[in-house]
Amino acid sequence: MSTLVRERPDHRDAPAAPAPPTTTPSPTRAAGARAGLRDMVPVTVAIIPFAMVLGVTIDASVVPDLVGAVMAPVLYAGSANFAAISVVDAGGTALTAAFTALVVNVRFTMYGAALAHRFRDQPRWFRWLGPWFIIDQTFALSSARAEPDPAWFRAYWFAAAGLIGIVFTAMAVVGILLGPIVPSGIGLEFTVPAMFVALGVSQVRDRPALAAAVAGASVTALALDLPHGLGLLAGAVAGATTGAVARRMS
Amino acid sequence: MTATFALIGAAAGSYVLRIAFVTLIDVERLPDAVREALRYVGPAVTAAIVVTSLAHGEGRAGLHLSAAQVTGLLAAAVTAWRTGSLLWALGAAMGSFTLVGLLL
Repeated sequence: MSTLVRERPDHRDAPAAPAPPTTTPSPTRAAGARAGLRDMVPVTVAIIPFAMVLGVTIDASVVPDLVGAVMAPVLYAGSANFAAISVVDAGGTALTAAFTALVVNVRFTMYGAALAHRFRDQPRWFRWLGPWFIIDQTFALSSARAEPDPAWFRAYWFAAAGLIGIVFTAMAVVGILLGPIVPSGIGLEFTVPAMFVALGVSQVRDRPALAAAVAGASVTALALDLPHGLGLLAGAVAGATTGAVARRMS
Repeated sequence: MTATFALIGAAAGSYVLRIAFVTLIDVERLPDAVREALRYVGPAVTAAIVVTSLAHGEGRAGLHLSAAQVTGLLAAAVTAWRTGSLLWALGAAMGSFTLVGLLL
């Protein structure tokens, strides 16, 4: 990732003039927005097939296309989207589908806990609105950034989250529209496990994290037949506990 | 209507999960054991999602990996590890998945 160089305005030769309107982006905010866009572009390109597969899945399911299209930006979590749609499509209730999505998204509590210090000195409105955009990608990118300026972080956060949200929604809609003409069996759906493998590798930074991933995958595979997506929850709990135990042992 | 209610419930619940330790609860108040376990939810859940996405909602019966899938997943892991690039990893995964699928 590129190193941020904070830009500072030079006022030495500036004529006397009224203060600029408050809507003018400050150099700090502009730099934050640029950094957010720059970091998120490759990630966004990578999620395009994932979003299109989601759109094709929506089109092939019993979920109305409009509800599916609205789901992408409102839920703002691709894998939970898939999970909820698969439950509804299999005849599950709304409660079961919502619960399954929450099981998939329970990791966001951990992401929120890890990012809490970045939100602590922010305005109240941002502490309530900003967390809406917590996902794997925004968490991974922003936790790798050390810029402490709250205004910079707000601009970075909204630029990165906005870019991936807009592109993801647009590509999901394209998938819905192209669904009827996309031939089956071309393997586009393989981008989903492939992307999560790549994301998982970036999260495995030490042996306890590796133990957590191995235990999470193993227990989930053994518990796949549990109803209501509980296999994933079992894997998550087993994996996180194994990671914590491994850390204590090491 | 099932899908609409599922969307509303999932979105509202996910928002509560997201703000839980940012706005509602001071993360310092959690027991140490829970905070330690929270550190590893990310890799644990991500690995679990790989498994469920390969099974396509068909339970353990749906978890049969082809040679092309295994090659693709290995290519994704190795490329992500060596380059740190999600884009390269996805390209390597899809390229090897397609190639092995055509050859076998």
